[in-house]
Amino acid sequence: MSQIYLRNRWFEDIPVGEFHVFGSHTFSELEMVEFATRYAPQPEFTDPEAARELRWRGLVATPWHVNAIWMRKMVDYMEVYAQGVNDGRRNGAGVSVSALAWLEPVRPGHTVTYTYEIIGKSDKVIRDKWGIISSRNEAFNQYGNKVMSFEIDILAERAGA
Amino acid sequence: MSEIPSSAATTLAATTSPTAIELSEKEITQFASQFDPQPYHLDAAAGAASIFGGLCASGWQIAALGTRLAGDALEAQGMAFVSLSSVDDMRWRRPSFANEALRARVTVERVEPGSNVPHCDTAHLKVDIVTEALEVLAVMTCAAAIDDGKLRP
Repeated sequence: MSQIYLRNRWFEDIPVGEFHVFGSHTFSELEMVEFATRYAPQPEFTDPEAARELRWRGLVATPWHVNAIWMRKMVDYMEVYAQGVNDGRRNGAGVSVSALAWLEPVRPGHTVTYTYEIIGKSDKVIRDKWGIISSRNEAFNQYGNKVMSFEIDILAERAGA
Repeated sequence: MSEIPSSAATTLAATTSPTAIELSEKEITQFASQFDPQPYHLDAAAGAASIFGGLCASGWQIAALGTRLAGDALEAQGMAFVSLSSVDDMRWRRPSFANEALRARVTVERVEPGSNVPHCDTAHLKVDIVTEALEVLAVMTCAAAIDDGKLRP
């Protein structure tokens, strides 16, 4: 019997309500500064000394860094379940994001844990081949406080296509 | 709320970031190997064979870069951009390939006092991330935190 891995499932195989805690990451000061230097060069995100006197009273991760790590954890999680699947990348490409909010700052040494839940499947068919899966994604710090949440629509290949 | 220029608070005219930024193939693959290691963001042949039709940047790299560019556009209008605080909606319209000069076209829809970012007001924005030929790569409806000028006496 062949196993169904997360990554190579067809649109039809992905159940609404499925919930995964898929990864954690401890943010370091160095990686926060590196990311922000290119993408958010405000001192709140790039300069630990100056940030102490600024609005968050210490360096914080720039918002998109929290989402970039979400992506990395998601890819890693999917790959673990898709070993040996080289051409079976049937789902993954993102279409749109909604209701994205950054709720609390992420500081150096904070550990963020990411979850997703499948919340919907659209009847729409894109380019004769792809269906759309919606998920709610949340991130929590080590105190259990929600630091970020959003919904995303991704493409998933339909089995009958 | 203070120090927000009335021109910024009242106009619906779009402002474009004064400087364009290009992502090289190396920057695209470096970001992807760190944050989004999928074949179409890492390898030209895999990109060509994918739904995207070529090696293209991670959508999250475009979101982050587009936000930097949007901040530049707001700064050029005299608004002290600090960060995004939320995104109501973001759509990736087409893949972003290497060496495209990208800018953000920003419309300030309204400004309100207060933000979940300390010492900030909230500017509600529409942001288009565009190429030099004004092709739209991504669009965002979002809220930005703008310094309210009260942090330092």
